[in-house]
Formats: sequence, structure tokens, C-alpha cells
Amino acid sequence: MGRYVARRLVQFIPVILGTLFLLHVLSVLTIQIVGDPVRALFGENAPPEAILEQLRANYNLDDDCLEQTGNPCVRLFVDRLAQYASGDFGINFRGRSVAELFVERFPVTVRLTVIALVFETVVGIFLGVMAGLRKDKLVDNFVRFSTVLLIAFPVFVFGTLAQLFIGLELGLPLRDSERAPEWLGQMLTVTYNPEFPWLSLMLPGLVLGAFSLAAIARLTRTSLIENLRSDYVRTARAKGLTSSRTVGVHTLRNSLIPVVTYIGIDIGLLLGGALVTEGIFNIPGVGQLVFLAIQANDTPVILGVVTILTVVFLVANLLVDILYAALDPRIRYE
Amino acid sequence: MRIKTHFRVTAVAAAFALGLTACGGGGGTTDDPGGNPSGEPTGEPGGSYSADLTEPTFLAPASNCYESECSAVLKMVNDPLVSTDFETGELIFDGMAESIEPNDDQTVWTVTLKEGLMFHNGEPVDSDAFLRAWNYSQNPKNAQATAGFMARIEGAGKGPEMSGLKAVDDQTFEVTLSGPFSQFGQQMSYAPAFAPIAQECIDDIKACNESPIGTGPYQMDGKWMHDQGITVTKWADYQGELPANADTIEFKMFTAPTAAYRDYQNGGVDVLNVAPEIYLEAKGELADAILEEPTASLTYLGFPTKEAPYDNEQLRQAISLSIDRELIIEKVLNGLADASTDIVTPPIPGSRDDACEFCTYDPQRAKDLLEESGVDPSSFTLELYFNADSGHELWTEAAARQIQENLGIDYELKSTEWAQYLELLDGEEFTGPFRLGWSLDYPSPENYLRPIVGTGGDSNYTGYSNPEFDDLVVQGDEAATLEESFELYAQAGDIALEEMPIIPMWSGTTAIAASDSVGDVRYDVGDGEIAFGEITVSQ
Amino acid sequence: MSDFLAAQDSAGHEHAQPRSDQNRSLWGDVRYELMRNPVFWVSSVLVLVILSMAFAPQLWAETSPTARGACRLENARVEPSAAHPFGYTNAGCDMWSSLVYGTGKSVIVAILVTIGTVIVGVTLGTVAGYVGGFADTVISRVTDIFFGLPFILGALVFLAIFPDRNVWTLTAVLTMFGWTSLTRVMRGSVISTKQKDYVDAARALGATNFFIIRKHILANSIAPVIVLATIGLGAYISAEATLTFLGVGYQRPTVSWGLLVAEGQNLALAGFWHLLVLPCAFIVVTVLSFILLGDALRDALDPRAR
Repeated sequence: MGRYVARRLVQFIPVILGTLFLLHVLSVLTIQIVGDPVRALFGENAPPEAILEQLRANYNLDDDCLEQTGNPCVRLFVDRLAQYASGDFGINFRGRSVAELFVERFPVTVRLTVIALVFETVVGIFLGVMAGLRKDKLVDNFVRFSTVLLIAFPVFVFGTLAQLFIGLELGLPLRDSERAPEWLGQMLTVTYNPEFPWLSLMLPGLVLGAFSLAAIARLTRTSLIENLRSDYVRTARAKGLTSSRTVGVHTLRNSLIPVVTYIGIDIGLLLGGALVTEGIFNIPGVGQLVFLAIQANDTPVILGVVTILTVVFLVANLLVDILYAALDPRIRYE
Repeated sequence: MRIKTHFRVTAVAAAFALGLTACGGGGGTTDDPGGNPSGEPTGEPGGSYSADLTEPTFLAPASNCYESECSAVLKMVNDPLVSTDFETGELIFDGMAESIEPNDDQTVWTVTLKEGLMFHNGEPVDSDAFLRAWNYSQNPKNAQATAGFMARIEGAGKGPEMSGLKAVDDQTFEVTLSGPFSQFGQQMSYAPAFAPIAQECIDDIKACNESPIGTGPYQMDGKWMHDQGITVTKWADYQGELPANADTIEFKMFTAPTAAYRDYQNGGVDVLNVAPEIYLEAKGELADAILEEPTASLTYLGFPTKEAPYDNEQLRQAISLSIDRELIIEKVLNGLADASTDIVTPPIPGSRDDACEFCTYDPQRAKDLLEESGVDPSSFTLELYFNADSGHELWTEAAARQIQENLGIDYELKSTEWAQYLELLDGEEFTGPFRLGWSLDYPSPENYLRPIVGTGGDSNYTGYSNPEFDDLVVQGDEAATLEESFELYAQAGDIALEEMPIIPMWSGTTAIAASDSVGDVRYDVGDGEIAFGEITVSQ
Repeated sequence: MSDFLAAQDSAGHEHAQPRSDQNRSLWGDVRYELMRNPVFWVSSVLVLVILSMAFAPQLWAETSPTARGACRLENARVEPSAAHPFGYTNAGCDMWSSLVYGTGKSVIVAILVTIGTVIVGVTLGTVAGYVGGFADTVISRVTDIFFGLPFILGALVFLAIFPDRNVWTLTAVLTMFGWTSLTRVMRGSVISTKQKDYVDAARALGATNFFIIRKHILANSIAPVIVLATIGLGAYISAEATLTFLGVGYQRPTVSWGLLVAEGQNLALAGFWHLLVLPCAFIVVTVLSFILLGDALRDALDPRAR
């Protein structure tokens, strides 16, 4: 096991290099095809050329290769790696340190992700088990239908409706009321409130986790149904084990393998991909940061932040792979 | 007009999509009671309120402020040097300058400061504070966004100090321009570009950006909470003349206008810029409580006048006649605009309400003109350009459909990212009509005519050049009285509106919502901003 | 080389006869199962309707909203009435024909992306999981690289580069960032199936790897992939809407469900509910039909369910 972890850690290096290079090529191509992001900071009337040149130099965007479409700008990439290696993630178009920006926003995103993850895992697995155990019964049909609704509604519609009806229509009277507890009103939030760093992320977290909840519930259900039919469950039943013990010990553990894989993937998606939810609830998170950076082609931010996100994601997935061994002891790490 | 930044819009691109929206003459002195959309204002100072804002780019040095978000904050924190009266175009000395005097040929300007002025940190506001700031701003090494405002001063952009900037004594300094410029006084009323800077600030610019040291009626209350908020409180030692009614103003940052509106509904925001996306919903709910004020911004379509078939004057006129501006304003812009009758927008002195013959919808006349022009409508496709994701999709499409229906010209919509759009603009590479906007730098018809359609104008991307037009504008500049100059500008405008290198579409309207707890809410056309300092809180 | 082929060949022959027998009865069972399942009937009729709208919209609506003179601004946002049960869009186009002509843009992309991601995901996932070792390392790490770029962000960067957004660019981008999760799940599933007794038994009996994969591994590992793929089909339909909402999906004057939803989102709350409800209803019914059809097929195809 120790050797396995060590080997995976070594493998991080090419993965991070690969991710960085992919991003680098994408951002270079964007500049080459779409146009000079520094010029785009200004309107129709550009400031004097000398100012633009100085700004390009400040942001390391003054290399000639950025004007040659298709040139991957390898030298820029190497320079940037050297810069990252020394712990310097550069500055954004507003002169702020990228590392600082990340540190400011990451805790918010982590809180949001934790809420979404706990919600989707607990409720998703619970619904999946209920549906799987009572296949084709009312519960099953309810779960199957309601999860489809969660999948079908685009998140921006779902989020806006939740914000309006739960956050405002339901939440506002509670916040105004003297008798309702404060935490309840703050939980049904309209926008993120830094004074309630956890409570005001509850509703956005539920919105964010809704899609994955549907996926987890469906995965658990299918997996459970498959496993309930397998030989070892039949054997266990034949041995006279009670149904709950069969489900709990024998079946569920095996059924959770695809679910665990999915959750591992989802961590990455939630950390960086919450931009729509963050926009609706005005949450200053990492997703919005990268989204706005992409819009402005603020390369230092895109690369810096996604690099850090990648590391986090890789660690999360390593943990998932180790969790596999716990769920299924037959998986050996050679 | 203030452009709210949101999801799909690059903050900076949006702020500039309609020109330098923030570059208004000082204003703030017009006695317009404005709207009092709701609530019972006490008119008394005190209290606190909150307003929505998009994260500004920079707060210090002020010379790096080139969009309306930072100027909204800086206008509270900094006093201007001088202001310009919006009605007359004259200077008003309600800022830090006691007097501003040009020499005879308007090349040397002497600025005298008022006595006893201070920065928030106690440093004196003297000639050195201005020299320090202006020299810093013009130096290309410092890459200040508004450095262009210094370009007329002798020796600008060449090194750490300009040869044209000299302190006479503590209260007086002299500015030598590289050529005569009669509007330099008005130009200096763009406060951020000409603000002084404290020594403490220039010593640690990074720290100063987080908590700017200004000279204005308000000072920062704590640090700039990035992406969350900025709070300013009244400065007890303020000696200036600018209004400061509320004790505390909290600017809350939003990235999406819908989120800002939900927070307004929730009681979290008192004064809100109602973005077009949520206007219909807000209007339905708040009705007359929404204050609607005309802005000075112009939206227009430019033609590549050197490209066939757009080199044909009658075709350009026909296209303009075939667009039903009123219908588009009603259905697409929800009434938040006024159809153009001139290139100069209504709030500007000298604008006219009947100047544009070809701006009223007349499909029959459009057809006749097209026939006269001899251009075969089936021989080309009208390629209509606009920058993507800034809310121009719907109206450009509607206009294109009307052109197609009335003239039989097929269309293709060409949208590009802002960066790409600028490259097309700078290279004059458009192959069809293109959308652009303009807003004032200072309130004069000249500030619309010359840049947009004058030969080599800063914002003239049409290739249009008419010596007769240029001549009339120069004559207008030199006229003895304001009345005479307006007359000459009008004659120039008539030429442009006849030959139509651009089609004026409409001038904008801004919508503001205010909660019951605030009053005296007014939109300042010159600043392109709500006059935050004037707002009162009912207690 | 020739020995290897011969071995494969003989392995194929060995099982040829019994398998075709089995197949016939399996398909017979499948048909029987499906015929008596009302969910299958309803969902497959709906899917057929949707597909015909996608590929032949002229069957369902006379004029395309992009045709000359099809939209009149005067009609903008007119609400449904008896004469016009679907009302008009924000641009004054007929809502029904916008929905019909928008089907293709949304559904075809979703189908193509689902097919693409399943092919790539199942192939790479099976290789990684079954072969293991170096192949697994390479595939898993390449997957990681693509994972490093969150799906929606990756799509944003890519689509910003392609100014011309059509079915093909959207399909390419969504596939490029969508194959990874299926690969990962398939790999995990294959690894756990590989350890099963019947695989060991087959190997002991001398079955080739190809045979084991085809016969045992695929059949027993595919379930989670099918679940995720059907979910994905629905998710890609709403992903198109989300991308459009963020400004990198289709652009007007193209019509798509995503464009209609993104546009209707703000206007619905201003009182024009039909602008949001109708396109959302189309998306929900479509997603529901595809997922239920997927469920029904999977249940019928699973021999152990009987």
C-alpha cells in the first residue's frame, strides 16, 4: 500500500505538467485567435501604445509568439513553470496576487462543496437504497421520476427558482419574524452572507448537489439491484441472515464501488464547476473567479487557480482509490 | 449610462462598450430635484444605506480608474479639482482649485489651490501632491490607465517627470501644454485622472489600493473587501463643498444583476441599478417606484463607407429608414431608450429633437430610395456586426429582420468577442454595418460630432471624411458665443445626418430602484452615476 | 501471430453454436419483456416523436422561425391563447415552431455526445481496468489531466476559441470533456468484475481475454455506465442550455431549447411564464423519455432479472 501511494504521488508530476500544458496551449490559442486581452481591457479608445506595452510586459503577454497563430509558445510555458516552482503564481489584470485571490476564495468553495457533497451522498444513497430494495414499487417510481426532474432542469433555472421561492418567499418572512430562530432564516438565503459563512451556503449547496444527488441515487439503485441478485446474497439469505444484515454488510458495500468512483469525480466538478450556482447566489467562490478570468482571458488566474485545483482533485482521487481497497479487499495494489 | 457587469460580460469591456462612460464633467450642481421614487426623505444628513456595485478594477492610484465602478467609489472618497456645469459648459470651482487661468493662447494654465486642504491622513494637499500624482500617471512605466489624459502636457510619456509641469509655490502650479487647447479646464474635471496623491499612498501603492487615502467627503471604513463590499463613512474634518448626507454608505458587490435585485427584494440593498435583464420583472413589481432618467449615451450603427455597396449614400439612408426604432425600443429594450433624432443625445446642450430626417420609420420611402440608389438588394448579404454577450443580440437581430422585410436584403449576424471586435475596429475590417456606442467626455455637441464622424476622429471607424463638415466643427470651436457655436455644430451635424456614415439608433435610459428608507435619489448625467452623496436616509 | 489468430478462431467456433441459440432465446425474452412493459411503450413513442422532430421538423411545423418574415416583433412575448396555444417568443416568433425547430440543435448534440462518450469511455475503461499495469497508468493519468479542467470551464475556454458554434463544435467540446467520467466508472466497475469467481473459472477453462471481456466483463460491468450515460443524455440537453446561458452555446438567430430557456428565465418572473415553462417542459419530457427507455431496455437486457 505504501509503495502504491508513493508511486501515485510520483505520477502526479506528469499529470500536473500535462494539465498545465493543455491549459497553456488553450490560453495561448485564445489570445492568438480572439485577440489581445490587454487591448480588450479598454474600450474603443485605447490608451497610448506605450501604456499597453508596459501592461503586456507586466502580465508576461509581450512575447511575439502570441501573435503567431498555432505557435504553442513553449518558452513562455517553461518560464511559467519556473515561476510556479518558486511559489510565485503571478498577478491578475487588477494587480492582485493570484495566490492571494485563491486563498480568499477557496474556503468559501470548500464549504459549498462539503455541503453539496454531504447532501448528495447521504440523501442520494438513502434514496437509492430505498428504491433498490423496493424495485418497481411506489418509492422506486417516485425516486426514478424525481431524479429525472433534477437532471432535466438546467441548473440556472433550478437555482433561480430555489432562490426565489425558498430563499425569498419562504425565507424573508422568517428573517423578518421575531419568533423564528435566526439560523432558519439565514439558512433559506437569497445571497451569500459572509456573516453566516455556513448557514447562508446551505441553500446554494443543496442546489449545487441536486444533479449529483440524482446520479448517485440512480447509481446506487442499479448497483444494489444487481448485487441483490448475486450468488453471495442468495447464499447469505439461505444461511438465514436477516434482510437488513444482508443489505448492510454484503450488498451495500459492494454496490457502493461505482458510487464512490462517481463521488471522487464529483469533487473535482464541484470545486471548479459551481460557477452558475455561485453567480446566482452571489458567492465569491473559485468557479466565479476562473469564469471571470476566462471571460477576460486573464491567463495568470486561469493557469494558477486551475493548477491548484488539479492538485486538490488528484489528492481526492488518490483517497478514493485507497477507499476502493477498503470497500473491496480483493482489489490489490501491486 | 452605467453598464452593469455580470455573468457574461467582461467587467472592463462592458464598462467601455459605450465609450468612456465614466468620463463625465463634474456636474453635481444642477438643481434638478430628480426623482424621489419612494419613501419619505427627511432631507437631513445622517443614517446609512447600501447600494449595489460590481467589483471595481482599482481604487488607487486614482489615475488607474477608467470605469464607472471605481469612479462611483472614488467620487465619494476624492474631491475633484474642478467641475463643469452641465447646462452651460462653464467651470465651477466647487473642488480643490481656487482658480484655473489659461494664458492668451491657452498653452499655459495656472492652477491655484484653496488654502488648508488635507488628505484623510492629514497630509497637506499642495502643489507637490498634484505634481507627484500627474508625473506618476504620465510615466509609461507605471502603466496608468488614464495616462492618455496627460498626453497634452509638454513632455508627457517621456520619463519620470514632465517638463510642462512646475510648482510655483505651495498653492500654485503651472501646466504647459504642447499646443493650444481651450477645453483643458473642462478636461480636468474628470476627477480620477487629475486627482492628487498622498505621499503615504505613493510609498505603498498596494496598501493604498486596499484603503485609498483621499480628499473627499467620505473616507474608507476599513479595507476594500474584495468581491464583497466597500464601506465609506463621512470624514469629520471635511472642508469641501460636495454633498455628503448619509453617514455611511455600503457598496455591496454583485457579479450578476439578478442576484443584486434579489438582495434588493430581500432588503439587503437600498439603492439599485436596475439592469435590463431584470427590468421587466422589477417594473412589474415596483412600478412607479423605479426612477427612469435619460443618459447621454448614444447607440449607433456605423457603415464601412469605403466598401461597396455601403459607399452608396442612398442605400445608407434607405437602411436607416427601414428600421422601426420605436418598435425595437418598445419590444426589445422595454422602453428604456429614446429613438435618436440627432447624433448628439438629448441631455447635451445643443442637441436637437428634429435634426435627423432619415431616422423616422418609413418603409415606403426606404424602398424608393433603395431603387434610386441602383443597388440590387439580392446582390449582397448584409453582415451586421456586434460584440457578443453584451445584450446586443436581440436588437441587432430585430433591426436586421426589419431591413430584410422592408428592403429585401438578406442578413447574417456576426458576433465576436470583445477583443476580436476591437481588432476589427482598429483595422477597419468590417464588411457591413457595426454596432458601437458613445458617451460624453464633456458636455458639448463637438464631443459627439468630431470623434464619431470627424476626419480621423478617435472613434471614427467608418472611413468617413468630409472637409466641409470638419471645417464647420472648427468654426464652431472658435465661435464667440455658445449660441453661435451650437448653430455651427448643428450645420455640421446636418451634413453627417444627410450623408449618414453612421445611423443614430437611440440614446439610453437608466433605471434606478430605491427602497423606502432612502430619498433624494438622483442620476447624475455627467458622471453617468447615481449621485450617492446626495442621497438621504429617513430615520 | 497466426497461432494467435487460430486460437481465437477456434475459441470463436467452440462457442458459436450454443451462443446463437442463447441469443435467439435472449432476444425473444427481451422482446417479450418489452412488449408487456407499458413504460417501454410510452417512452419509445415519445422518443420517436422527438427524433422525428429533430430530423424532420417540417413534419411538425410549417415554417421555420429563421425563415424570412417568420417572426414579427409586434408579437413579442404574446401569451398563449386559444387561437395560438403556444404563444410567441421574446423575438416575436411562433413558440411552437421555435420549439420544434430547436429540437434538433439540442437533441442531436446530446445523442452524438452520449454515443461518443460511451464508445470512448467503455473502450478505455475496459482496457484500463482489465489489462491494468502500464496501460491503466497511462489511461488513468490522461483522464486525470482532463479532469483537472472542470467540465464547464473547459467547455468555456474551447467554445471561446470557436466563434462558429454549431452542432459539431458543441458535440466535439462536450465529448472531449465528457468521456472521462464514464472511463473512470467503467474502469472501477471492470476491476471489481475481474475479481469475480466466474471470471477466474473462465480463465481456468482456457478462455481468451477477448472472450472473457466480451462475455463476462462487459455484460457485468456496463450497468453503471448505462445509468450514467442515460443521465448524461439528459444532462447534455440541459448543458446546452447552461452553455448558452453563459454565452458560449448557440447564438441567435439559431433556435435551440437552450436559447429559449436562457431567454425565458428572466422573463418568466416578469409574468411571461410560457417563455420558460414550455421549453422546460420539452426538455423534461425528452429527458424523461430517454431515461425511462434506457431503464426499460436495461432491465429487459439483464438476464438475471428474470
